[in-house]
Amino acid sequence: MARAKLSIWFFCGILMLADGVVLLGQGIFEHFGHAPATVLANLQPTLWWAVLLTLFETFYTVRFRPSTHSVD
Amino acid sequence: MEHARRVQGQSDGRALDGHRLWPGFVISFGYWTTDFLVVQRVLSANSLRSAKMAPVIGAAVKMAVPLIVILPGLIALGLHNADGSMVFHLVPGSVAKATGQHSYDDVLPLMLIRYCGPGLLGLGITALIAGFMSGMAGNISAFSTVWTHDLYGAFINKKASDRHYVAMGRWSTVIGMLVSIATAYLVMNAASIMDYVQALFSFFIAPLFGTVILGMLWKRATRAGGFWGLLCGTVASIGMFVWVRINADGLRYIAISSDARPMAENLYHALWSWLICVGVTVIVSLMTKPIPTAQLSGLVYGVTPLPSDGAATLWQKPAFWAVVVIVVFFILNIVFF
Repeated sequence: MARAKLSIWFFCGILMLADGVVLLGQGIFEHFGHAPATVLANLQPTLWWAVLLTLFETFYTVRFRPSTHSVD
Repeated sequence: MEHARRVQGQSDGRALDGHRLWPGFVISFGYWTTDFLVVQRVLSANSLRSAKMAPVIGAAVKMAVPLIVILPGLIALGLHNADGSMVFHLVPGSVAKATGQHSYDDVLPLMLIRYCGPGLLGLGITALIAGFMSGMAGNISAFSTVWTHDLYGAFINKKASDRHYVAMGRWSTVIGMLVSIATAYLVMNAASIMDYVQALFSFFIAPLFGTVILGMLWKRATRAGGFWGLLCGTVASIGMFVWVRINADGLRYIAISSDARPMAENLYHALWSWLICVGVTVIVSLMTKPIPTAQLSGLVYGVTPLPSDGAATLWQKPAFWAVVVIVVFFILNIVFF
């Protein structure tokens, strides 16, 4: 049985998806009354970055998952 | 914008004029064609089109560097409290060392702390460290490759086994890291790391660019021409560096201006050393026996059959994207000049 090759983009995807998920947790925590003492915290930059990272990196992880994409 | 112009004016001393652009061309073209950190990425591409696209994509991303290194500083300068006082009281590094205040170099971390809460701050710092690490990793692997492949394998030990060369590559990586740490201590007291890097660029990259460009494009260039051109260019650049260290008045002759600032020095070293390298290479080449054209195939443009890069549509052509990058580059320069 041939082993599927891992694309470097899949690795980038899961790595940054993990970042996105961690930030998402922090962003939701801040949204419910635990805003940090930073400037413009009312704009919720952590939550927005988390949403962007999670969406973008979910796409990357799925797009370059080992079974469908070869590094060649 | 007006504020930005004043800041630029303060740091530069005076506005740039036409002849000041040329030294920049030597250093930047030299960087893209002879810096092994850049070249090794092109050499490792899996197709000709990827190899051509690599520096084009790199150049597009490189244009965003001022956004990271200049914009946070300009925003910090523009931030004022309600009473009109400045939010950040930044001072030069030498003053900060004595008084404990924040120096100009601290602006990026200060802005990160100001705007990024827990989590996002970690991501920002991770991104900065990742940037430093990828640059360091690239430089160290370039050092290891050049030493093992081009020096050790080519001159010192030509007939060793692959296992031996791999071990040598690993050891040179470790030693390269130790040397780079030692070098960091050496330049710790330099006014700016940028001065040091630019000085090294003007010593080695600028004359090497002259040799590489002539060797690639000119059939008549000979081995002796390349050797003596490179040697004279490098020695001239180091000579000018020593001259200005011994006698600061030398800068006005090198930079052809009595108003020249220290940062201009390395740019002019680069220009002069490039001109000397090209001049000596041309003269020595014309005085030595030409190399038969048959031997130059695969080495010199014009006597080498160029394979197709496989680009079918306009969107796949590297030349198209190169033109896009150049147009954006000129627009940015005109807007922020």
